[in-house]
Order: sequence, then structure tokens, then C-alpha cells
Amino acid sequence: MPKRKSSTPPLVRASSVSVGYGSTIDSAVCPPISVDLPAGGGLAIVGSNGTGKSTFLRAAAGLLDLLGGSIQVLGRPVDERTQQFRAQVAVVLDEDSYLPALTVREHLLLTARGHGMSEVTARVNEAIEEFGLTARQNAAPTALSSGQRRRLLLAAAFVRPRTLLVLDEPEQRLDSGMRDRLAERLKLERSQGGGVVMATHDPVLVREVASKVVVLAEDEVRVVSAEAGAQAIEAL
Amino acid sequence: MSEPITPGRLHPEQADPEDWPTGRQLRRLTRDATEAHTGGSFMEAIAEVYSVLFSMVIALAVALGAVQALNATLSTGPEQATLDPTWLSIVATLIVVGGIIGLAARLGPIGMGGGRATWWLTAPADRRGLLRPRFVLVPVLGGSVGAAGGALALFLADGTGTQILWGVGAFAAGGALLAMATTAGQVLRGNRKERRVRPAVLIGDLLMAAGPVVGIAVALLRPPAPQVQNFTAWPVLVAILAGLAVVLVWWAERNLEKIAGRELRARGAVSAYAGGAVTSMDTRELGRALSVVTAPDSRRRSASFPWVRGPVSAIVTGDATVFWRSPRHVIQVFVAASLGLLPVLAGWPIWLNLASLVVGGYLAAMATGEGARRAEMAPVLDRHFPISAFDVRKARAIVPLTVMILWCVPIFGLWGAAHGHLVGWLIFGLLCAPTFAAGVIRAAYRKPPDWNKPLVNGPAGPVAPGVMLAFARGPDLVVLALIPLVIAAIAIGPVPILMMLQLSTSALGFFVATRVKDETKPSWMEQAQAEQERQQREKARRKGGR
Repeated sequence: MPKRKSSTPPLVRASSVSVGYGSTIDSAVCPPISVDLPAGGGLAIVGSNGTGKSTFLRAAAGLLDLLGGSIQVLGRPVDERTQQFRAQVAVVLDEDSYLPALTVREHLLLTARGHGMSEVTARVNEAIEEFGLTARQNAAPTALSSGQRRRLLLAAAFVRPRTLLVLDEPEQRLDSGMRDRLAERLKLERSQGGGVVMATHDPVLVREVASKVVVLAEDEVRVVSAEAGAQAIEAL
Repeated sequence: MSEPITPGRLHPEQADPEDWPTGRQLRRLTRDATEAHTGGSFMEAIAEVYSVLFSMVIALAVALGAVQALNATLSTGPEQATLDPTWLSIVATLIVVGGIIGLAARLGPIGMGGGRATWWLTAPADRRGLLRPRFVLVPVLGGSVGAAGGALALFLADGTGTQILWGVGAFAAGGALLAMATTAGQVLRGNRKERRVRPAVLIGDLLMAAGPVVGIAVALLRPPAPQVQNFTAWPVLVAILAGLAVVLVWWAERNLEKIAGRELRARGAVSAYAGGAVTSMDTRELGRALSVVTAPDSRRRSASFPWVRGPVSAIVTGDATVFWRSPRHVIQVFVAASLGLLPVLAGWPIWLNLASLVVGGYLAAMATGEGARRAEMAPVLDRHFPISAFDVRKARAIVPLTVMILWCVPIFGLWGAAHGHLVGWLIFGLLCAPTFAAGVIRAAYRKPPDWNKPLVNGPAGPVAPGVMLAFARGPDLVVLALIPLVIAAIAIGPVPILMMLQLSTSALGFFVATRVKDETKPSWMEQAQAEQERQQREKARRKGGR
């Protein structure tokens, strides 16, 4: 019997997407990517350095123009300028984005209150504890270690409502305990119907979180299972 | 059992210490390698200067044309000064001295940042040799800034030719002495832990803030001015200051090795950041550089922001907190106020009053745009809240707008008191505030120049093509949108028709500054530039093929 098509659009649909930092298709960093991510799914982008993992993520987050193909997020072409996109997509890229004059706690309070959430104090306390920032909650980001700043950015993404999480190498600069907790948190995210798109070099994170994996290389793109994706990382 | 490891086996090609490069050789090698990467045409930079000047000339021509068309006569400004020239010079002196100390302390003055810190500080070369060029610059720059400030202060005090000459000498020697005293502080600090606020930074900022406060207090209380004209001991003063500066130069040069590597890296990071900002003419980066905190942050309490409900209030609260917690920015607003106020109090010609007002207004607005500048640097900050890009920019303009309204009211009020039509000028001030806010938002969100293109080798080092155009983005809008103010100030006064015009240009400027285009698509100017570059490449290819 043929499978019935689902009427719900996927969280992310990439169709023959070419990405790169030039202006023509010749400057694409990898072959075209086609992949769907349903609600509650986890998509990992893996590959060696320079194969276009972060570039694809930036395009999916609407921060980079596509060289070819199309990406739809939540059933619409990506336009990060809209309120709807910003309300539903939480992005943590590989950059320090904070206001140096505000403390860790103030960043999270403003984020939660800015999204009009209720029980803000309790949520912020929970996030601070979950990401191991309790002792540093009143410190400015400039006084944190790079790993703690990474925790702050991740906590800010989790303290707000979202449908899709876009994470660029979230394991970077985290200790192994925090990586395990992050994997658990991302699994919970999926089980609650949220989607996760992440570029990563961590095979454990791929096995724990991903439902499918895009393996990028200079001359080919493969969409494989989580286990095969984790093995691809280990083989690099 | 493993064999003992000897250094010779680990590093078989290790050079003899006598073959190690000196600090001077290492510096030259680095400079030659850097200069090998330039190749852009200097004419490109000249063309950009032309474009920037052209927009300013257009604004002035429109204003003068309108005055002529209305058959109005040019205003001469207030006839009488309300502030004694000696007090003016004292205010200028406070600002100059505070500026020298604050800047020198923030930038080091001795430091070594970026690649140099990585490659040089780990090399076995002598540090005195590596640091000497930077060290030589310290008294020279301190003296130059002091001399310029002294000339201004003595000119303001109506000094005679000889007095100005000696005064400039004294200020130059004093500037060099202050800069060297800050260097001596670095040497004496040695390897001790850095404090949260460097005392010299605090002293400099307080002196700068004291300048406008003294100016306003004196204008209101009118105390008798000190008689600087009767001061005759200029040569003695110059000799003492210069002598002390020379002693400090000699002592500090011999003790340069005592400055801790940590201190050199921390100060160098700030000055490299600031130097890069100056050569690339990026005022956003300069502000960030001077705000860099290198000392460990002391723990503070967190505010709970109970009034924040939704994205707009979150953004505004964040920006206001950033502004309020940065004393440098608050002081900048006050110093900019003095720039707008003092020429009026001094009874200077109208065009000087006007120029000071516009420059002061823009400087004050710049201090309020740190939130927007941070968000441009880390775009995720803007995309963090459930609000469209257009609304985010409008929200980011609220803090600059509020501060500029508070800034414009007293400044334009005083202008009105000096020139007549107090209420009219107050209304004009309120109408001009959005223009200043719009200018700073436009400047904050401008695209940085493309450093991947061949760099242009200028007198201050290699710069990217497009730096001047980027520099002008923001001030260009302020100059053009304030044309009604210019007409009102130089000729007609604050008449209703000009108020309406100012309202329109301010609204238009505000719309332009908060408009969000798709940044992933090139603008028509960028497309034209790309086409021009393509044609040049094609031309060069044909030439080469012939």
C-alpha cells in the first residue's frame, strides 16, 4: 500500500540547496543538499572542516543568500526579518553575542520577558542551574570563560519559546558533563515536538539527538542514519 | 626504560642564542611582510573622500541657495559673549588634560596586541628593542595633543603672540609629562593584578566631565575670571614640565622590560583594536575598543527588570542599561553638550556655533547607540526577540531619541536665549532630536568595508576600499536632514515653515535609518561597483593578452 502523504509541512525543507560565500554557483562549497526535517526530528550536519556545515546553517537561519535551490522553514521560504521566523527559530551560532554591560542573569531575564513568558524568575533560575551558571549568574559575560559564555548562549536559546533550534557546533568549548546534559536536553526538545538542526563534530551528540544526518564532502552529499553519520565523523 | 630527553634531540635545529633576531630585525621583517599584501589604487580612496565632501557641499549649497531665494540676510550671531574667555580656556584645558590621561591609560600607553603579541612576545628577542617605536610615540603624541590643546586654550583666553607661544610649549611639555606619567604607572605596576577601574582612566574621565560642568556653572554664577594675562613665569613652567618629562622618558626606557607580558597583551589588544578602528575610520569599532574591559569583572547584583513586557521594552531596557552602565558614554554626552554650548556662550560667529551644535549633537548621539552597534556586531542579538527586523531598528532608536531630546532641549534653549526666539528654538531642538538619533542608527547598522579586496596603502597603513563611504554613513544623513536648521540658524530664524520642513526631513531621515533591506542581496551601488570591477578586470585581461 502506498504511504499516505502527511499534510503537515516539514519544519525544514531544503531542495537542491547550494551554499557558499561567492555570488555564483561556481563558488558553492559542496554539492546541492536536499533534505527534510519533520516536527520532532533532529538533523545533524557533519563533515570535515570547510565542507559547508556552518554555511548551510547560516543559510537555514536566513543569514546568507543561497547560490541555488530553496529552503523552507516552517512551511515558508526563509526570511529571518519577519516576526514569525524570529519568534519560532532560536539560533546559536559560533559567535559571542552578548551585551557586555549586562550580567548572565539579566541576559536571560530580558530574553524571557522579551518573549512575554510567564513565571520568568522560575524559568531563568532553572536555565541557570541546568547550564551550570549558578555561581556566575551575577557576572558580566566578559568575566566568564569561553565555555561559560557558550553555556550562556545555549541557556538563552532554551529559556525562550521556539519551534526550531539551529545550533552551530553546540558541543564546542563544553566539558563532557555539560555535553551529556545538552544531549539529554536536545532529546527532550525532540520528544516535545521541537526540531533541532545542528552542525557538529561530536559522534555521541549525533547518536543521541539526530534522526537523520547529512554528511558533507567536497564532491558528494549523503543523507544517512544517525549511526552511519556518527561513524562518518569517527572516520574523518 | 625510555632514554632521557635532551633539548638538543627535541630541537635539533635550534639556533645559537647569538643568531636570535634582535627586536628591531623582527619588527622590520613583519612590516615588510604586511606591505606585500597591498595593491589597491590610492585613487579609490581619493574618490571616496570626494564623494563624502560632495554630499556636505550639496547640503551647504542647498541651504545657501534657499537663503538667497528667500532674499534673507545672513545672521551674525549673538553680539555679546556671556562667558569670559579665560574661563573658556580653563574648560578647554580640563577637557584636553582629561582626554590625554584617559586615552593614554586606556591604550596603555605601552602595549603589544594581535599577531605581534603572539609572535613577538614569545620570541627570544629583547623587549626594549621591540617596544621602542611604541615608546617613542608616547611622549611625541602626548606632546602633540597637549600643544594643540594649549593653542586652543590660549586662543580662547585671548592670549597675545608670546603668551600663546609659551603656552603651547607648556601644554606640549605637560602633555608629554602626563603621557609619560601613565607609562611610569605601567612600569611600576609590574606584575601586580590589574584593578577593575584603572586610576588614570578614572582621573581622565572625571577631568573631562568636569570641563562642561565648570563651563555651565561659571555661565550661571558669573564669578570673576582668573587673570591669566598677568602670568609671567611661562619659561620656568615650561622648563620644569619638560625637565620632568625628560627624566620620566629616561627612567621608563631603562625599565621597559619590567612591564608584565600580561599588561602588554591587554593594553596592546585595546590599542590594536583602536588603531584598526582609526585606520579603517570605523567609529563603531573605536567606541568598542575604548570600552574594552581587560580587568577581571567584579561581581555585581543583577536587576530583575520587572517592567519589561515584550520585545520592545526588552530591547529598550537592554540598550538603556548598556548606556547607563558605561560612564564613558555618559561623559561623552556631557562633553558633547559643552561643544554645543560653549561657542554660544563665547559669542562666536554663527557658522561656528552651528558647526559646533551639529558636531556636538552627533557626538552625543553616538554615545547612545552602543546597543545598536553591539547588535550589528552580533546579529543574533537582534534576531533574539519575536519582533520584525524593521521594528527592532525602531526600538533601538528609542534610547538615542530619548537622550537626544533631553540633550537638545537645554542646548537649543540656550541657543534661543542667546539668539532670541526661545520657544521657536526649543521646538526646533525637539524636531532635530530624531535626526541625530536616526544618524546614529544608520551609522550603527552600516556594512563594514570589504577587507578581502586589495588594500589601499595609505599614510596610516593599508586600508580597505570603501572605508570613507562607510565612515560617512550616518553623518551624511544628519547633515542633509538638518538643512532646515542650517537655514533657520544662518538667516531666517525658527519660523513655522522651517519647523514643518525640519519635521519632514527628520521623519524621512528616521525612516531611511530604520529601513531594513535584504542584506543578503547587493544594493544598486554594490552592483554598480561590482560591474565596474568586472570591467576593470576585463580591461586588464585584454591588456595582458595583447
